[in-house]
Amino acid sequence: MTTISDDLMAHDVILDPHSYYHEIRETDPVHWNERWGGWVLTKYDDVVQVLRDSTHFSSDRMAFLDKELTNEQRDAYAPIFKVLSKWIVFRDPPMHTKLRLLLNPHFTPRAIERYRPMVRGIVKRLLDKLEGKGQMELLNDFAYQVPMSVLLELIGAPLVDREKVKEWSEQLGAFFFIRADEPRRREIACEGINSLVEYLRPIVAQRREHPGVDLISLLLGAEETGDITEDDVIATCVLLVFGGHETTMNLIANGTLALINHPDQWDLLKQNPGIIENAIEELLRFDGSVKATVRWVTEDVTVGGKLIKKGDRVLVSLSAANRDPGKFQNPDVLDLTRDPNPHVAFANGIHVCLGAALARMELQEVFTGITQRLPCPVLETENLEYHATVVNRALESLPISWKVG
Amino acid sequence: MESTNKLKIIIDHNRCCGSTLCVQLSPKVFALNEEGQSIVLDPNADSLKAIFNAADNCPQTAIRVWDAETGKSLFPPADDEEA
Repeated sequence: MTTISDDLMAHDVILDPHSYYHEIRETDPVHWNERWGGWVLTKYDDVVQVLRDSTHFSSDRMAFLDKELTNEQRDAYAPIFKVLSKWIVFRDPPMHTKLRLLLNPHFTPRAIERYRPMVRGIVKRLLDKLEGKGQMELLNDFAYQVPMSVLLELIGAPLVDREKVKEWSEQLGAFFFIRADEPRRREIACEGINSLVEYLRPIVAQRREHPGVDLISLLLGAEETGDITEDDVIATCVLLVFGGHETTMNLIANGTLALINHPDQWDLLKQNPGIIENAIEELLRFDGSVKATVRWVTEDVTVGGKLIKKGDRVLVSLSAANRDPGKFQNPDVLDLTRDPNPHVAFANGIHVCLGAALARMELQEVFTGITQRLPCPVLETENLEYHATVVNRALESLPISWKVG
Repeated sequence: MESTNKLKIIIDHNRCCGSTLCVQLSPKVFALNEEGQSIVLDPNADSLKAIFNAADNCPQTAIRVWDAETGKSLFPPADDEEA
């Protein structure tokens, strides 16, 4: 019998989570991870079952975290909890339903189309600047600017602020993505969240004075119903910036790397730009930017034949589900024409990514742009490194080069 | 409520992600099956406007609507379809 390593942060697991999850799925698809202190789900059907069942599986991360804290810790984390406890991603029905119905019309596939010309313009301008250079560090020189520009437009903030908003957003990321034993983790995250809140407060106040048709005005309009407060509005804006920029940036990087590793698929897309929609779905499936999401069990429930107890937590692996041979033929093959492609890169169920249509549109514009404008790039490093997190699939950097002229 | 709609609604289960938004927005027309995916209870049990709104809010564009008599596609609207 083989023993499964429970170190989700081990270097080889961070580098290649897919092989690790294949091994767990084959040996113990509903696996108790002693070290992480919860269940790890790796089968497509189990993952989908949990994501679509918000009755047995809560997303209220803050409530469950709160129980584990000492009073001293609770005070120290107060600024973070105050904002994060209002995030729709960490709420259960009925509040989740109210917020989702309020926000969703702004993020439907058809509503998102209004941002497409803007994104196309950003991609074009970036490539105009970069094309002749023959090289770039994809994350900083290209990938982050696309989502961040759209998000600032969405909340009505000036584009010139994107560098500092990015920095604060990354500071806040320390709360989720830095190892719990990093002593400055809480401090950094508090700094980030306070900066974001203070940055957003005058923007929200201005919108209260002069309401428009933008997202913040719409949210403020809902205050009258008594369902949401100004703190909810600000928290939601923080979530949009935080949730929308890094995930999309990482999708651009992971997708580019996948195509560099499969130059035949790069050429296929270059020759057939009409396959872009299927191509993006496949890049999302193949190496999405969110490896897993967490749920907390509210009542005893059976998953994959195993009893999961009330109070347990569950790591629902989206990456593992997307490579499950029980659902996808040749799951480790990148096939940009794959159809149908019922991947769960944006999760499933009531918490399915609010920004999914936005991310899809951005990715369609980005990958059409780079494959049409550039020849297939080559990697400029032999040692790719990923940030050591359980949740994010995030390259530290992606230096690439291509032939000019 | 009496309805004079004669609609055909199809939900693509390769796309439906169980967001439940259509069920929230038009509960007489849409419901969930055992897998947590949306199904059509009665395509004519709500106004066209409510059904379009439900279809429009689907994160996956999984809901398609036709006029059952003429076979004309009603949602997504034709002006969305770019070459």
